[in-house]
Amino acid sequence: MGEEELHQLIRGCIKQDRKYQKMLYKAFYGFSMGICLRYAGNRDEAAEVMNQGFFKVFTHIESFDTSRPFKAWLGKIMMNVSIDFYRANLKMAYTEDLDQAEHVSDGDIADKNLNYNDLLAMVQKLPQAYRTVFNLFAIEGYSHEEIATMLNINAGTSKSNLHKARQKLKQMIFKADSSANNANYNTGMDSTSIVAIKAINMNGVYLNKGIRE
Amino acid sequence: MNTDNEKRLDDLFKKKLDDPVDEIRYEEGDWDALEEMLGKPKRKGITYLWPILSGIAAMLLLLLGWWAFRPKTGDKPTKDQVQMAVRHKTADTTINRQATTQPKVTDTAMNKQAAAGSKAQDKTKEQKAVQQPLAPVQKTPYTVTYALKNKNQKPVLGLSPGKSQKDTIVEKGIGINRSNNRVDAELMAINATPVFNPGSMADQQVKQIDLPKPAYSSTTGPATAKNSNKVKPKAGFRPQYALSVVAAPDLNGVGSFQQGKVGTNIGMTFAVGVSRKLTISTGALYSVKPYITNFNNYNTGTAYKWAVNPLNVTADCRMLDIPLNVGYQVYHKRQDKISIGTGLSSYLMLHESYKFSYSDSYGGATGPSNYTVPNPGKYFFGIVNLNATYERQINSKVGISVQPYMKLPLSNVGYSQVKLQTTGVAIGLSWNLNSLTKP
Repeated sequence: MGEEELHQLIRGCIKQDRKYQKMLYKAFYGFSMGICLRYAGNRDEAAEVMNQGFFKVFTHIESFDTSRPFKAWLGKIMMNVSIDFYRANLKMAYTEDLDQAEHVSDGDIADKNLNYNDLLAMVQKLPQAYRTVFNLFAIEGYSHEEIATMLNINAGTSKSNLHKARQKLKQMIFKADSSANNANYNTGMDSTSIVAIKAINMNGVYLNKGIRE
Repeated sequence: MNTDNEKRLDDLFKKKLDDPVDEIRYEEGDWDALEEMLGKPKRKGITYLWPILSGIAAMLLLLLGWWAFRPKTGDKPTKDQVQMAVRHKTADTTINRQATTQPKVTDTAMNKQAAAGSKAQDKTKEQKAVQQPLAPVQKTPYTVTYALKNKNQKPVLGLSPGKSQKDTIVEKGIGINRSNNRVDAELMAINATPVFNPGSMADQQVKQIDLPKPAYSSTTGPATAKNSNKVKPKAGFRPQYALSVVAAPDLNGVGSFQQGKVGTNIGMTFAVGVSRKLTISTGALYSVKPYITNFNNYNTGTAYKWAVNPLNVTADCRMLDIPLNVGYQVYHKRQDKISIGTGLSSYLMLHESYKFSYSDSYGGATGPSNYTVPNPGKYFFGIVNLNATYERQINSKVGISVQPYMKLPLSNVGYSQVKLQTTGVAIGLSWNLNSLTKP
């Protein structure tokens, strides 16, 4: 969407023109929903929170400074309504047993083949307090001090919640990975044996197994 | 967990979850939910419906009022028709009507007189003297109610419900009562007098309306409610020029709609929005107005001497109706608008013919059976238009409207000088002329 087009939409929204409101809604639906889904427990909750965000956008659009990026403003509103929505639950102490999580090995997780939906499902499975802090720290990039102020919690609680969130997420990733590996077990064996045979052949025919050395 | 791994975990999520626009499918249902939310805050309880309700109430009152005060011509004509022409029957009925309505007003009129004259203590005392023997005990509760009611509705009065009536009356300084320590009976009489407090005429009228005749309160209630709601601000100014094609079936009658006949109107109107709320409209409508009336409403003066008076007259009038109306918008939300309007219409007669039917009981004697007026006249601004319009904008250019209306005669119309009234519903298709300049 071009800058001029966006400003035209915003002008229409300032006039409370429903047609322009819908156009803006559709244009930023994916972006806004993406934010709310991360903070919400499921899609329905996310849609509800997002609509509250858009409601704020439409009722306060005249206060938007058009010289600043709209997307950032919108994103901030979506984040704030998400936090507001769960604020009541954010201070709740979670006494879940993380013993098992402590034993998760520190294997490399960067190259795990997980798509958007897998990761989103994992984040949504987190308890709200963990999820909120994880979102704010890991994805939005806020510091623990900032998060503490935003959520009206201690910085220590924020750190602790982040740690627990990470532990849980890691647990989920490895669980997903192992189940994927189990599913691919036969394939893995086949390819290994084929490689072995080829290796033998290569050794036998070319005698240059040290080609890479 | 070491820091590197933590970072990698965070990055994994950040990369995949940060802006996943392509992963999310738009759901129309979500917009519907938001649209419902956006509609909500404007409706603050029932007040949201006030403009509509008051519009409907105004129309109903108009109709009821008309029916209630229509001339009672039903009984008399049969008698008159057998005799020779009684041309001035209409005048008689008007007097009768005044006579019948007068007693209803008398009470309030008297009260007002009393109010005006309350400085003259003698007169007021007379009034008290009249009221007191009637039912002094019954009067008291009314007064109490009003003291309390007015406290709630109009704090300006400064009445305290906690105080006794006696105090209230004295504080209001009617001036008649310096005799606080008289007997109870006297007090009751005094209590009835705040109605005549000369200090505030406006308050008085409210009291008088409610007190003796609840029937009157019903007419003023919605009217005041309407006034208070007119102040409500509305957003969204629509294109200012609109052309409409209008078709309207309507009911025509003389004096009342009891013998109403259905006519048709078709034409065009042009409206100019002069402000956000006010619209001035004019146009031209070709109207076919057939009606039937008793002969005594048929008034040709001395132009023709009837040997035998017909029983009734069936008229066929075709005319050009040129209205000039002002509309006030009472409600506007999105595509829907409701406005009320009034104005004057001019009738330019194009064709005017009458058929006369005679009573069989009169020995079979008949007069002329029909008459076509050779040079139909023009009647400028002789008709009052009252209407309420509901308009729905289909898109930025086109809208449809439904307009119940009533046309009441200010002067007599046509060769026969009848008071022709019309009520109907106009259906219109309008086109906004300046919609091209606005999105």
